[in-house]
Amino acid sequence: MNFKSVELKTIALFLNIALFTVVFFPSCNNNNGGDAAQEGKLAVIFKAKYDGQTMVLNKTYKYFDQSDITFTRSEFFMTDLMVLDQNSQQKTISNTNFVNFTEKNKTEASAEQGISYEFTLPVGTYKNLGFHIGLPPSLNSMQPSDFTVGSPLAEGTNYWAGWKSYIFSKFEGTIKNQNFNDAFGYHSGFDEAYRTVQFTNNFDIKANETTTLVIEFDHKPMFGNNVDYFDIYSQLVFHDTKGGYMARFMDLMSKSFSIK
Amino acid sequence: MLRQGILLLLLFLLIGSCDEHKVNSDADILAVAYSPEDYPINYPKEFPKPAPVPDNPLTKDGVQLGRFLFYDPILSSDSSQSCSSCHNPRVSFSDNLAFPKGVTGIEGPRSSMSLLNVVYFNKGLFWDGRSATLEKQALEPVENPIELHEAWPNVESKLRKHPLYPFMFRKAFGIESRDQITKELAVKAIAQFERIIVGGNNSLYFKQERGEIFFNSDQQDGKDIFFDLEPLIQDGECSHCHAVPLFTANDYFNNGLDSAANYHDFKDVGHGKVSGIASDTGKFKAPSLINIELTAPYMHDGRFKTLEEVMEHYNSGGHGAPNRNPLIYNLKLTAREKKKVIAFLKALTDTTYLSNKDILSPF
Repeated sequence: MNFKSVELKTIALFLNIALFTVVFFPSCNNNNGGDAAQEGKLAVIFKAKYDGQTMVLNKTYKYFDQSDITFTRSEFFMTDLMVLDQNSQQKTISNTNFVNFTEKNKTEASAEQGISYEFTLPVGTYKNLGFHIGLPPSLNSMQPSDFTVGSPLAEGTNYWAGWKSYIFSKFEGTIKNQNFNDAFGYHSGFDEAYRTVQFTNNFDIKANETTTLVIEFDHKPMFGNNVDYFDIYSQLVFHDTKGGYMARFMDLMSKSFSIK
Repeated sequence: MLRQGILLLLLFLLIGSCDEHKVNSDADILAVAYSPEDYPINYPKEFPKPAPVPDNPLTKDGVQLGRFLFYDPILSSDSSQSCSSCHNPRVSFSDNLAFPKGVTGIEGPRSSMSLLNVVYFNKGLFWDGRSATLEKQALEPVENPIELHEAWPNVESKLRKHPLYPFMFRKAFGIESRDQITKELAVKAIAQFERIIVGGNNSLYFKQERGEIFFNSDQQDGKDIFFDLEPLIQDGECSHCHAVPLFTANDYFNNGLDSAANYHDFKDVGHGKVSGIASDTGKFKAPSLINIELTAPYMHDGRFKTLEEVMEHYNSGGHGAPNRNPLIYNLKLTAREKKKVIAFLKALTDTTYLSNKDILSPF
């Protein structure tokens, strides 16, 4: 080995290192930057409506029979918010949420804002956003003492001890016509009340941008339609499976959501 | 000139000696070690886990200080009343009065709520929910003119001069001078003490739930009515507002106590004043029914002297109001069914917490 060849080898080694540095490190940077840039936000906003209008607690609306109806409570468990990605792979982006319009919809301004949830997702086109109303059986078999104060699942008010089930949804209010003025309360629970809501709209998640989906939950179709609707006066309260009211109500409820 | 110099020197020495005295006066508390230890507590497995309070964790010395302050009339203007005057451990930390009287002899507007299991109540304290935390709640009765009617600066002064409390504050919170005894630390200690007042899981109800005992037929039927367990038995609709495991929904309701044509008709606006929402007027917190047998009279104004009167109210459906809860209606329970519900309510009594010496008065 002479001096020249050592020198050439040193130069070659230097050039290789330089080449490696130029090629590899920028590509690393690109990868890292690329990962960060490959994500965007999805905002899902739930808005309560009644016959297309913003539903505000204690505000009077017209029922199918022209009775005056108001709501004093509207809340439900929403579990497993899901999307399908481009490969039709199901991704669960949120597990358990308590959608509480009782708190949110006390004023018009607040009700119009809706209840917002935000998630980070890889960029791409998604389809079939969906969620469940109520709790899956494995979660419904638990009880408030399994959770920490602050979780809606720790609240006794969301649980039926006698029947060992969480209460999936609560809707309460008043209904009034010329002859009657009553309060009603429709509560659901048990595994039988678990329902799925699914939308087929595609949506894109773009890098560093927020895509907003508004889910409108109209309270009127939850009670039926112009031809066939709940006679609230004769069924002011239900909170069990007797008479099939709950099953029918939950079927209707699951069809009362639309996406904008 | 010389005289002025001597005067200045004397003044300097005087100030110096004052400082020296101040340092010396706190040297005694600094001699006490500050080595906080977690307070050992096993919350009942039947109840949810209490949320952690990072800025005021339970320590042995914090709980002990809170216990002393809770039972000490030093917090009142005439040293005649303490927190325990209205929250007596023998009656589930309540006082059996419709309207408790403060140090001035004036009656308060509402009854004293039981403090049992208050650690679990995260949606506001007091009947109207006006305090978000126990720390904030404990600030109020001291200065309330119809309760302890004392100014916090006076309380702080009394505590700083006290022969014992400076050392207890040192051990609980690591203060380095008496000046560091503040109302904020005092209420932190009281809140720590209140967070160990837990009970109910040794009541007959929970024993039956655990399979340790049998209910008699009245208790069992009462339970069925309370929880609507039997389709053929009338539903008492009780468990909606008094939900397990704490027998409270931890929420605010209008339970039909008074007639109101509109939201302006309520004599006591209750939670409405706190939330600012019209439909919350006339709503009050649903109290826990654990130890309800011990805490008569009932409702926020103590209007019902007995559980029989309470049952009569609910069975009647109460009075009309725009926000009366829909589950308050004419239940049509028979006299015997009402007695059975009361038998069940009495199965919620549990005074085993009284065997915990950390809960009782140190005086």
